Amino acid sequence: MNNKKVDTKKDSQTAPALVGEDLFKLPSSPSDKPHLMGNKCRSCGEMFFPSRVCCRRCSSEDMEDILFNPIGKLYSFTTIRVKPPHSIMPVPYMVGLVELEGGEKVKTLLTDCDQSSLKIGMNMELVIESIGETQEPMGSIEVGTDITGWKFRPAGGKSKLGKS
Amino acid sequence: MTNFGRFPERPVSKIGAEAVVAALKDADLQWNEIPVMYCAHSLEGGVDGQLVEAEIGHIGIPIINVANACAGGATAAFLAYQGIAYGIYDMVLAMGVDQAPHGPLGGRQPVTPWNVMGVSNMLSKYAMKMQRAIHEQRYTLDQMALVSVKNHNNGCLNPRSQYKIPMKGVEDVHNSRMIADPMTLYHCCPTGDGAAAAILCTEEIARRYTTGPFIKLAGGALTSQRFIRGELMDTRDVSVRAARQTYEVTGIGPEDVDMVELHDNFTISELEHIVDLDLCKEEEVGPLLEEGAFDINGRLPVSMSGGLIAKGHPTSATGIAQLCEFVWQMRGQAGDRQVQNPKVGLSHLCGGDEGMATTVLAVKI
Repeated sequence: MNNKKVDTKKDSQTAPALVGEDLFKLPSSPSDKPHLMGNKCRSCGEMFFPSRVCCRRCSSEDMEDILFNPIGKLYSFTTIRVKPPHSIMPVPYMVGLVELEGGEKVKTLLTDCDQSSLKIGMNMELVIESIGETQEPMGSIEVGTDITGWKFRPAGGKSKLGKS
Repeated sequence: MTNFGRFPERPVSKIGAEAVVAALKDADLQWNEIPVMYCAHSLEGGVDGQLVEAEIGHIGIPIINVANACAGGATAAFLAYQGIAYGIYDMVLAMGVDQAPHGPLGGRQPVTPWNVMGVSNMLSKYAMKMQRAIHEQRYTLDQMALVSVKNHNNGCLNPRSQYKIPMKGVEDVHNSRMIADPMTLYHCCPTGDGAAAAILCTEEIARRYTTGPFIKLAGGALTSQRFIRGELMDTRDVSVRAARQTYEVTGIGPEDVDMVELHDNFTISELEHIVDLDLCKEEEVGPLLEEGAFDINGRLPVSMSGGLIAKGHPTSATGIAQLCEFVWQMRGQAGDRQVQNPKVGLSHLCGGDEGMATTVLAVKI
């Protein structure tokens, strides 16, 4: 996963970059699912997204990397209509809090749904896809780079992409 | 304190100096009598306190810059309290100053994946808290809107308020611009500019300058988050613990509190924090609000100054501004928003997002 590589060929097409290293894993085959990446405390079993240096619960340094189950539950949601600083998302756009296995929650974009169809507690599944182009430098990623991030959509529902 | 509002043409150092000069005049003190200053600021450079000093006069005193986001000013007051209580200083000037750009806060925060994706900001956090509270049937949208009506109408009575918008009822709040569903504009406090300063000293020093009334910072507490599984929106456990510790160290109980200024950054916060401060139960707070218990003339006035929602919220200035409000109220100088004979005030602020700094301070006469 090299998110720093920028293609500087004539057509100035830039290679897609990931919004952050070590935050998610793309499917390795067509039958595979994407996963959020985090870590788990070997002492108390608590799981974290994103990874923490030590366990947030018991401060143990004995941590192992994990892939989260791509299905979670919708805890809350909103539609943002005023652009927050640094955001590249055109308003309005939907965001949510999704509870993952183990109880950790992830702040996420929501996709393939409209607000009226969302219900707190419903199952959501992870989607990794383009979120747009960077509008300011982000680490070593240049302005105008197509960037890939995480989103959730209602699980098993009909997708605009025709996939479930 | 200065008026709260938008003063983009005024350097932050001059805004801060205006508040310091006002505090000195109020206390009948000269600047060169101040032995130390704690200056809270969150949105500007590293040494705003020294820039304020440069406006008033270089007197070579220790100046400590304090950053704790929205709780910065209250943290400066807490440190001042500690400095005096532990006998390090006999007098401290605590101040807060900030100047914010128009629009949602966060422009000076780092560019992170969460910020780029627009999923981690105050608007989404509090809109999702509202959504969740409605789902759990804790509060109705009308009750949350009523907080805005009350605080805006209080703000109309405060000459230093950023906004003086009279509200007829909850429809005024519902009909304002949608920001993040179900949160409309008037559920949100504004960003803005302003400063506030307070001089704290031992009783012995105070007696040299005044015959009273003597208003005392009785004590307080500063908390950060404990681990709660999956909790990305905690403002409550931090507040509950800060309140409990404050009641313990001061001997003041919830039943003694006559007035409250709290972190009403969004309307839902006021309802939650009244409960967190142990002033009533969760199921009581909505009905109590509706019956007027938290009005200026109610049983327990909350956000008499207009709160963050109407008076404004120049981040680090707010903590000190809450103390200024208590002082004016206890001296009987609060004009049309005067609470009848208050003896104890409780101040509460929450700074930050996923890393919280929460303060509770108790003031008594």
